[in-house]
Amino acid sequence: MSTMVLPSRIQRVAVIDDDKQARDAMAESIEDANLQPVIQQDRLNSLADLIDKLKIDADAAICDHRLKPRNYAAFQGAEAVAQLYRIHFPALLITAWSTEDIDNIRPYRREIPVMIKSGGLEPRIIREGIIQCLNEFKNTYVKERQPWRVLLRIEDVDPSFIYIIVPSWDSNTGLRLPRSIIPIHLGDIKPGMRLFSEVNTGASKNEDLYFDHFEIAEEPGNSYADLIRS
Amino acid sequence: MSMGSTNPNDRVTPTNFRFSANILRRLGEELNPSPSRGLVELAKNAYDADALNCAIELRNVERPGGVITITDDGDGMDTQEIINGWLVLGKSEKIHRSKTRLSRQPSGDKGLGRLAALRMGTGVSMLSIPRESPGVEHSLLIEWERYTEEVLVEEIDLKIETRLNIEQKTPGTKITLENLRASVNRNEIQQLARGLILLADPFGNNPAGFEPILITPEYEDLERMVKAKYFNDAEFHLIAKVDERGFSEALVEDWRGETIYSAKHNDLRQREKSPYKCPVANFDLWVFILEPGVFSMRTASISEVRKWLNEFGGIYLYHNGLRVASYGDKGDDWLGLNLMRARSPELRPSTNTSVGRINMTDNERLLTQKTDRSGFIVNEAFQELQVFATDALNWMARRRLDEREKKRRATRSEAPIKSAKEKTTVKQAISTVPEEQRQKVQKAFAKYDRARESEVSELRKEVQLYRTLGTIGITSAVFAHESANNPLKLVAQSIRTVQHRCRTYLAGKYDEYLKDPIERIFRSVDSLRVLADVTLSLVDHEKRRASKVDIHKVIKGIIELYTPFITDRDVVITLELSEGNPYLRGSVAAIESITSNLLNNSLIAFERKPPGERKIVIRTKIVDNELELRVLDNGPGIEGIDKNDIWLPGQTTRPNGTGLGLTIVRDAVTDLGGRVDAVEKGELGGAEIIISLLILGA
Repeated sequence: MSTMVLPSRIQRVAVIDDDKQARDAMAESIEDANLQPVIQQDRLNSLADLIDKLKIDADAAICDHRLKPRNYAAFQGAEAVAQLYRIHFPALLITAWSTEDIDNIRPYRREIPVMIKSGGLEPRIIREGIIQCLNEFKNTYVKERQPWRVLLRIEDVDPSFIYIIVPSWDSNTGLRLPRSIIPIHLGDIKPGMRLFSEVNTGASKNEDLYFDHFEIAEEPGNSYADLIRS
Repeated sequence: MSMGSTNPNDRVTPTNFRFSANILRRLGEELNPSPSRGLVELAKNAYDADALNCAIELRNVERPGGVITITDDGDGMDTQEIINGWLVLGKSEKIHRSKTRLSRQPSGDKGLGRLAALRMGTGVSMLSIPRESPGVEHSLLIEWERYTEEVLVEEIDLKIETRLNIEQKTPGTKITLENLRASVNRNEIQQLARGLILLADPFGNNPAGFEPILITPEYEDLERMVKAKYFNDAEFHLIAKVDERGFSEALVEDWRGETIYSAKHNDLRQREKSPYKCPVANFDLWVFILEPGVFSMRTASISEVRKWLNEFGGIYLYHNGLRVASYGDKGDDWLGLNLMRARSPELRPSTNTSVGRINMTDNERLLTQKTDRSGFIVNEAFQELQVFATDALNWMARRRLDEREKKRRATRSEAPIKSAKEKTTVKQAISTVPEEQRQKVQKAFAKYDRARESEVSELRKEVQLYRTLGTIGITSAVFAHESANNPLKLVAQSIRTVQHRCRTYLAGKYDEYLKDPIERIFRSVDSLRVLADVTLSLVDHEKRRASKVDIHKVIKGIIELYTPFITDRDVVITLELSEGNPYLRGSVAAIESITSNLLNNSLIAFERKPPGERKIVIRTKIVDNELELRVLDNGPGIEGIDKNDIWLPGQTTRPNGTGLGLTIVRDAVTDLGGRVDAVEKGELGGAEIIISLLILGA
C-alpha cells in the first residue's frame, strides 16, 4: 500500500550542504514544511560517521550533491543518499544538474528516488519527496521510477564513458554513462555488444534514468534459431 | 535410356580418375616454388599435434645433397592416422575442427606446400611414435624416383613398417628429407625463420606454448632471430616492478638499451603514495613504433613485425612462472591499452604496437584463479596489480609527452634563428648575381621580406587573440560554474522561502504588494542561469568528439539556449528547416560554433539600425548531398567592409569586436569539408550568410 501522507514519526530533517548560507536557506524551507531542521554544521569525516549520527539525530535528510569544494566532507552527496537508501532512511538530493553532476550521480541513481534542482526546494516538494522515498522502500514506485529489465546496445566506448542506446526508452537518443557503472567482472565492453539492465524506462528525462544489474546478453544461439524456425 | 527392362548386354563398369605420378611434381614443386612455406606447414602439423618443441635442422643445404629434419614431441600418429591423414594431400580441415588436447586451435593445413617440402629431397623418411601406444613405432619411406611419368600414383606401393619401440623413444614424429635436389638459400631460410616466429609463444615459459627452434649452422644469425624474436627491434622497453613491500620503480630503455627515463614509487603512484597491495610483480613492455622513418634502422621489416604483433601483441600475465590465460590473448585487452590510446594516439602503445608480460611471484597466494581457469577473481590484489600496470603506462606516456613538448618548444625557439641564417644565405647568393640585375633582385627580395614579416606579425597577433579568447573562455566557464552552484542557488532558494512566507503570513496582501517584484526576481535568476548554462554547455568535452551529428537538432538546441537573449532583444527568429534530419560526421561543437557565431553577428548588427522590427531566418535546404544553411536577418547588411574580407581574422566594423566570429565559422565549415559565402544585402534586406555542408544523409 502506498503512503499518501507524511507519517508523524518523520519530524527531524537533517540539512547537509558545504555552504553555511545554503544550509540556512534549506532549513528555512524545512521549517515552512512544518518539519524540524537539524543542521549538520561540523565537517563530516566519513560517510559511516554521518550515517551513525543521522540514525540518532534525524528521521530524514536533504543533502546537496557537492560537499567537497568547501572542505566539508570527503564524499559526495549522491553516495550518502544511496547509502541511506539501503538502510531505508529517506533522503533527498539537491544538485545543480550540470552534465558533470549527471555523470557522477548516475552510478548511484538507482538509490536516489528524488532529485531537486538547486534553489528549487519548496515545503510541498520536501514532504512529497520523503513520502516517495518511504514508498520506494516498500517497493511501491511512481511510474518514472519503476524498474524494468531491458536490453541496451553499446554504441561506442572511450576511456571515460560508454555510449548506449536503450531502444525501449528511446531508440533515437544515445546516452552517455560513466564506464565505472559497468561492473569489472563483465570484462571488456565493446561497441555492438548488448547488455541486460534494470532501467526505469518510464522516466521522461535522460538525467532521471538509472541503470542497475548489468548482464551480458548473449547472441541468440542455435537452439533459439531452431526454435523460431520450428 | 530405359530403366524398366534388363538387357543381358547392359552392365556397369566402375572406374575413377587415376593420376600419373608426374602430377605430384606438378602439384608440389611447380605450384610451390618456395619450399620454406612447406617447411612452415610441417612445423604447423607439429603444432596441431600438440608438440611443445619442434626442431627444424638444415645440414649442408648450401649445395645440393643436404639434409633437413623436422623433429617434434607431439602426439605422433598410428597407421590409420598416417593413411587417412598424413598421406592425404590437399584436404584442408580448417573449419569446424575442435580444439586440441592442449586447447590449441588447429591450423589444419594439409596443403600442397607440405608436398613441395617433402619432395625437396630424393627421399623422405618418416618415423612416428603415437602417444596413445608408445610401445610401437611406425616408419614410412618414400623414394621419389619411383614416381616417374610412366606409372600411376596408386600403382606405387608404400609400406608402413611397425616395430616395437625398443629404445623407448618419446612420442612424436620425425621427418627426414634426404639428399636435397637443390640448395636452400639464405632468403628462403629467412622466410622459414619468420614463419617459425609467428608460430612460437613469444615469452617461452608457457607450459602449453609451442617452441620451434631452427638449427642451421650456416646461418647462425637466423637461428638466433627465431630464439630472440623481434624484441630487439622495439623502440622502447618499459621495465617496472613492485617489491615485497609494495613499493614500485620503473625505467624505460631505448632500442639501444640505454635508460632514458626512470621513476621511483612516488613518480608512478601519483595520487596516493601508499604501497601497492599486490604480489611482487615484474612488468616488461616492448613498444614498437611502426613508422618507416623510425624503423629503417632495424633488422626486421615493418610488415613482419606488424604481423607478429598482430598475432601476439598484448600484455601476458604469468603467475609463479605459469602463464594465465586469457590475459593478453587476441581481443583480451585487460589493461585497456587500446582505450588509453584512443586519447593520445601518438604516445600510447596499443595491443597492435606492443607486447609485454607481467611476472608475478605470489608466495602469499593473494590471487585466486577462477574455478574454470579463465582468469583471476577480481579481488583487491588483482585490482591493485592493474592499477600498478596502468600507473606505469601512464608514467611512460607522461614522460614521452613531456619530451615531445620540449622538442616543440625547441623547434619554436630555433625557428627564428634558422630563418635569420637562411636570410643571410639568400643575401649572399644575391650578391653573386651580376651587377646589372642585382639591384632588381635585391629590391624584389626586400619587398618579399617585408610582406613575409607582416604576415608573421599578423599570425602572431592572431595567436595572441586566440590565446586571450581561450583564457576568457576558461575563466567564464569557472565563473559560470561557481555562480550556478552558489550565489544563484541561494538567491533562488531564499526568494522561494520569502514567497512562501509572504503567502502564508500576508495572505491577500501578497498578490497586491509583492507578487510582481518576487516574480521578477525569479525571472532574473532564470536568465542568469541560462547565461551560465550557455557557457558551460559550450565547453562540454562531449561536443568535441567526432560522431554522427544531427544538424537540425543542434540548431534547435542553440536557439533554445539563446531564447532569453533573443526575446530580451525583441528579435523574432523563424526556422525554415528542410524535411528530414540531415546529418554529417563531425562534432557537435563545430555546428554549434557555426550557428552561435552567426546568431551573435545578427544580434549585434541590429544595434546599428534604428529601432523597428528585428527578424532572423534560419533556413536549410538539401541540394544533392549537401545541406545549404542560410542565416538571414533584416539588419543593416554588410557595410564598410568587402564581403570577401569578413572571413579574415581581426576584420571587424565594431571597435571592440574581436573579428574572429566569422573566421571561426569559416574554419569550422572548412574542417567539415564545406564552403562559405555571403550576400551583402540579402532577401530580408540584411546580411545573408550561406554555408554549404557535405552531409551523409537525412
